[in-house]
Amino acid sequence: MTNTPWHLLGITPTQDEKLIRDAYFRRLPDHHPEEDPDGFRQLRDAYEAALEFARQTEPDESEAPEVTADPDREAAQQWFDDLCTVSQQPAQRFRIDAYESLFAQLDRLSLTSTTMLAHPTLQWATNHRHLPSAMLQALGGRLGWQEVVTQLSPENAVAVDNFLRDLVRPDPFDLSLLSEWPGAIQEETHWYLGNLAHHCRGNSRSALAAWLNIPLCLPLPKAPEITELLLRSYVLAGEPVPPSLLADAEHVRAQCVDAAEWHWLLAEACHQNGDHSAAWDWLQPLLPQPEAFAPVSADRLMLLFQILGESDPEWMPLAVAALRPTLNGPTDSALALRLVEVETRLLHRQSPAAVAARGCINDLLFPPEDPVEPVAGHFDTAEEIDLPLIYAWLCQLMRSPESIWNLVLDRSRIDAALEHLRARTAFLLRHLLRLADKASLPEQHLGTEGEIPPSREVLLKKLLLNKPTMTNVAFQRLTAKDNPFTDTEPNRSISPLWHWLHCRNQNTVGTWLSELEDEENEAINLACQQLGLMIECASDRLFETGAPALIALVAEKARSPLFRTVAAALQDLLKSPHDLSAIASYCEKLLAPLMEASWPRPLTSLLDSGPIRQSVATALEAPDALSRPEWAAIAGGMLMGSNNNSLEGVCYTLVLSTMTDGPPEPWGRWANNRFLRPDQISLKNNATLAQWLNLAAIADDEAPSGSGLHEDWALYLWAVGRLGRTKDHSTAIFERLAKPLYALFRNPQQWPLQRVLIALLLFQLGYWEAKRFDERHSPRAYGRRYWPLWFGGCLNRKHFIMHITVWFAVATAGMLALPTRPSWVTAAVVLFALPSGLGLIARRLRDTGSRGFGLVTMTILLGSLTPLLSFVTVTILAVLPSRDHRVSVARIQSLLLERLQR
Amino acid sequence: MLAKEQVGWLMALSAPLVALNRNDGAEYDTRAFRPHSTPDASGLKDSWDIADRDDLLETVGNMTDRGHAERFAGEYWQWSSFTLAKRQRIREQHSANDRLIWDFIERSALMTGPGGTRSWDIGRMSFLLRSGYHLGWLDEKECDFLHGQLALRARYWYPSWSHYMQGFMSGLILWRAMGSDDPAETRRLLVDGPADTWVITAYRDLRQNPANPANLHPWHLPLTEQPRPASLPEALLQ
Repeated sequence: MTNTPWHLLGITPTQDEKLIRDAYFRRLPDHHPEEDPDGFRQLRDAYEAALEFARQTEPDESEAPEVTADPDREAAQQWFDDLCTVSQQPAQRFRIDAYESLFAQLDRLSLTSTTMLAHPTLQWATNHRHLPSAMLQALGGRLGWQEVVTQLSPENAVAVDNFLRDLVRPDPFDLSLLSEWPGAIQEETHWYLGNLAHHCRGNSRSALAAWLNIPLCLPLPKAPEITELLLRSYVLAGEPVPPSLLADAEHVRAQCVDAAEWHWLLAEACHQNGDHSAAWDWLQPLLPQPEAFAPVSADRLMLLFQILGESDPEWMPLAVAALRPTLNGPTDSALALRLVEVETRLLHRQSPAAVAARGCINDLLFPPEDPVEPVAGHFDTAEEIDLPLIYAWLCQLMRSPESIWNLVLDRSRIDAALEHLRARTAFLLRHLLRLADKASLPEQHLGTEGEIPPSREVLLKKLLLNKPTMTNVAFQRLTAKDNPFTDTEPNRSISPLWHWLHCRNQNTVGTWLSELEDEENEAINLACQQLGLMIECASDRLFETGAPALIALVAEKARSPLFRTVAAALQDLLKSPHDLSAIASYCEKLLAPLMEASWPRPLTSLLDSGPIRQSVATALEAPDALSRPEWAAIAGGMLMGSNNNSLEGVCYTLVLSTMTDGPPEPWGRWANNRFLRPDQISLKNNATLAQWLNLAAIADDEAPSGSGLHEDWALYLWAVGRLGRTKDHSTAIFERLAKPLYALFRNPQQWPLQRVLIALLLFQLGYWEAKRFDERHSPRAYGRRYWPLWFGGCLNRKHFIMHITVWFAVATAGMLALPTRPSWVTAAVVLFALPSGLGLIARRLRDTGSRGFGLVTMTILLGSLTPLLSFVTVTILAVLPSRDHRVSVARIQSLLLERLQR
Repeated sequence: MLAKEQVGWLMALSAPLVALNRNDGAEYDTRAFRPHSTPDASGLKDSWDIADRDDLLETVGNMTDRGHAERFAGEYWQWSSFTLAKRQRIREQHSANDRLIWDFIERSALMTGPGGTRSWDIGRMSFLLRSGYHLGWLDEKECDFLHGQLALRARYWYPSWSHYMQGFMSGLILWRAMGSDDPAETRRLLVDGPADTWVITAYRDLRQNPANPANLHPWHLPLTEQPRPASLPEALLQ
C-alpha cells in the first residue's frame, strides 16, 4: 500500500475532491518539479488517480488504482518528444508554421495529458528562449503556464513570471530569416543580436562598441529590425557607421512606418561619419513635419543645429520657423552657444540668405518683443524698407519648398507678413530695381554676384548651386507667368541643367524639362547627353531616383521616334540596372533605331558608360556567358558605344558570335551596315574587312561554302584582323610588308608557288604581330576558360582543324602542282612549311596553356626544332641547288635513255 | 623660441577670460593679460590669494588638473561612456536639484564632449600665468613652457577650439551656479544660464572677434616643444 495515491497524498481514501486537492497542494512544496521531478510526477499521478477514484460512484478501497503508466502519459511524452525534435531542426525551429501540426495534435490530447505537459514544457521553454516568442506565447496559453506559476515556490515563481512577461515582447527580428542557415550560425546570430540589443539597453558605450566589432561567420540578415538595431547601436556607441549599413538603412527606411525616426537615425549616423551634408539631407525633409520635432530631445535639437551649422547654415530661418514650437520649450538656452557657432559660420557670407539667417539667429539669441511686426511694417512704408532683409526673405521664400512655404504661412504671427510679402513681390522687386538703379543700395548688400537687380540667370545659378535639392519650387516660381523675373529675361537658358548635373538635382531638371516644349530639339539633345552622364552615375542615388522620371519625361516630350525608343529602352534598363537580360534587351532595342537613324552624338556617352561596360565585363566572367546568344547584342552595344575607329569591338564581337551557338543574326546586319563605312574605319581595306565579316558568317555554317580559297582568306584575314587589334596597324608591319605582299598575292599573274609562299609569309607576319599584341594582353587576363578564343590563332576548334588541313593541302598542292619541278622545291615546301606550321601550333598551344590536345607534346617538340629545321633546310637548299639540279637532270637523261632503248 | 602665431595660440587658452574682460583692457594675443595696465598684484591677492611667484606656481600646479572641473568630471565621463538609457536611469536617481545639474551637464556635454569643463581650469590657469608674467614673476620662457603644458592638456581633452571655448563657458556658468547662495539664482543659471546676454555677448566676441588668435589659428597648430626652464620646479605641470 505504500505506493497508493492515498499514501502519497497522506490522506485516507475519500470521495471528497476538495480534500484530495488540499492534500495535493499541501504536499506539492515537498516535491518541487525542478528539484524533485520524479517525486513531483508521482505526486501528480497520485493526485489524478485519487481524483478519478473519487469520481467513481461506489468507491472501493481495494480497487484503488495503482500508479502505473497510462496512455495519456505516453501520448503526452510523445507530443513532448515531437516538440523537442522540431525545436532542434535548424530549418524548422524558427518557422511558426512548423509548429502548427503540434498544436493540432495538442487539441487531440486528453485534458490529463495537457495538464501533464504544462510543467515540463514550461521548464523546456525557459531553456529555449531563442524560439519564436509568438509560438512560446501560444504554447503557454494552451498549456496554462500561468497556472503552473501559482504552484511554484516564490523564488522560482518570480523567475518564471519574468520569463512569461518577457514572452510578450516580440522577437527582435523575423527569426524565420535564419531558417536556411546551419544551426550553429543560427545560434551565433541569435546570440549576437540578443547581446547587442542587451548592450543597447545597457550602460557602457565601450562595451557596445566592442560588440559591434565582433566578427561574425556570416553577415546578418537584412531585416528592418536588424538594420535598425545595428544602426542604433552604432549611433549609441559613437562608432563610425559602415557605408554598407547606411545603404541598407536607406533601403529599409521606405518599408518602415516611423519614417521620421529613421530620418533622425540616418542623420545621426551620417553626422557621426562626418558627412554633414548627407545628414542635413536627411533632416531637411523633416522640417515641414512639425510632429517630427514635437517630441524631439535636447540632444537631437542640438544635433540638428550642429548639422545645420556645418552643412547649410543659410537654412536657419526656415529651420527656426519649423521648430518654433519646440524652441519655445525649456531647451532654448542650451542652444544659445550652438547658435552662436552657426552664426560664426555665417559671418563672412554676404548673401541675402546669410544675412537673413544671421538676423534670425540674432532674433533667437536676443528675442525682440514682436519679431514679425517690423518686417510687416516695412511693406506698408516702402520708403523705409529694409532692403537686405526683405530681399533675404524673398530669397528664402523662393528657395523653400511648397510645404515649408505653407508651414511658414500657417504660423499665426507670420501669416500676415508673409502673405503680404508674397502679394507684393512684384512691387518690391520693382522697387528694389529702382533703388538699385539709383545706386542707393550699399554695395555690401548686393551680395557676391550682384543679384540686385536680380538677374534671373544669376539667381537661378545661385539657387541651383547653393541649394540644389530644393530648387524645384524656385523654378516653378521663376517660370510662373506672374513672376517678375520673367519679364526681364524672356529667353530661357539651358545652362541650369549643367548646374543641376553638378548638384544632382533630378527634380529640378524634371520640372525644368516639363517647360521646354518649345525648345525641343536642343533641350532633348542635351537631356540625352545628361542621360548618358546619369548612367555613369549609376552607383549613385540619382540613377535610381532621378533617371526614370527624367527618361519618362524625355520620352513624353520628344517627338522623334528615335528618342522615344531610346527612352523606352532605357526605362527597361533602369528597372533592373544589374540584370543582364535587361541590358541585352536595352542593347537590342537601341540597335534598331541606330540602324534607321543617324547616330546622335550625345548618346555615345550613354552607351559607352561605365556601368554597362562593367556589367558586360562582369557577365563575361560567368561560366555560361559565351553560351548566351544575347551577348551578341551586348557586345554590339559595347561596339557601338566604343570608338568606331577601333576594330577591337569588331573582332571581339565576331569571336563571340562564332563561339556562341545562337544565330549570329546581328552580324549579318552589321556586316552590311553603314557602320562599316570607309570613313568610320581607318583601316583601309574596308572591302576586305567586309568580306572577312561575311566569311566569318560563312564559317558559322550560315552560308554555303565552296568558293575556293575562302579558308585561306579566312586565315589570312584573321591575321589581318589580329593586326587590326594592335591599333597601330597603320605604322606597323602590316603597312610596310603585309599590304604589298597582299597586293602581290592578289595578282593572278604571279606564280602559284610564290603565292603560297607569300600567303605563308603573310600569315607569319600576322602571327608575329598578334603575338606582340598578346604579350600585352595575355589570354590569362581573360581567364583560362576562354582559351578557345586564342586556340592556335583560330576562331574556334573547327577552324583549328581547318587550319591544319589547309597547311597540309597547301603542301600537297605544292607537290602535286609541280610534278616536273626539281625535287628540292617539294622538299622545301614540306620541310619548311610543315614544321613552321606545327611550330606555330605548338607555340599557340603553349601560350594558351591548353591541356586537352593529344598532339601537344609532339608539336611542342617539333615546334622547338622549327628554327633549326628551317635553318638546315635553307642552308641545304642554298648550298646544293646545282647539285640537286644535276641529279635531277641525270635522272631525266637516264629515263630518256631507257625509253629510247625500248 | 616660439613663433608669433604659436604664442598667440597659447595665449588663446585664456581667450574666454579676455572676452569677459574686454572692457578692462584685456588683450587676446599678448603674453600679458592686460598689457596696458600698471602691474598690480592686489587683484590676484584678493581673488586668488596669490601674493608672490611661489603662490602663483603652487596654485597653477594644484588647480590645473584638480580644479573646479574635477567636481563634475565624473558626470561628464558618464555622459561620454554611458548609453542614453543608462543616463536616463541615473537622472531618475538624482534629487530634483541634482537633476538640474545633471540636465545642464547633459546639454553642455553635447558641445564640450568628454572634456567637460576642464577648459574652465585650464583657461584660468593661463590667465594666472599671463598675470604673473605681467607682474614680472615669470619670464617669457617660463610663461611659454607652462602654457605649453596647459596646451597639452587642452588638446588631450578637446578636439577643437569650439569645444574648448564652450567647455569654458559651461564651466563658468556651472561655477557661478554652484557658488550662488540663492537657490532660485542657481536654478536660473542652470536652466537659462547659457542664454544670458553676458554669456552670449562674451561668446560671440570669443568666436567672432578676429583679434582672437583662436579664430586665426587651427586647433592643431604645430607647437614647438619648449625645454623646461631650470627655474621651475620639476614636479610642476609634468
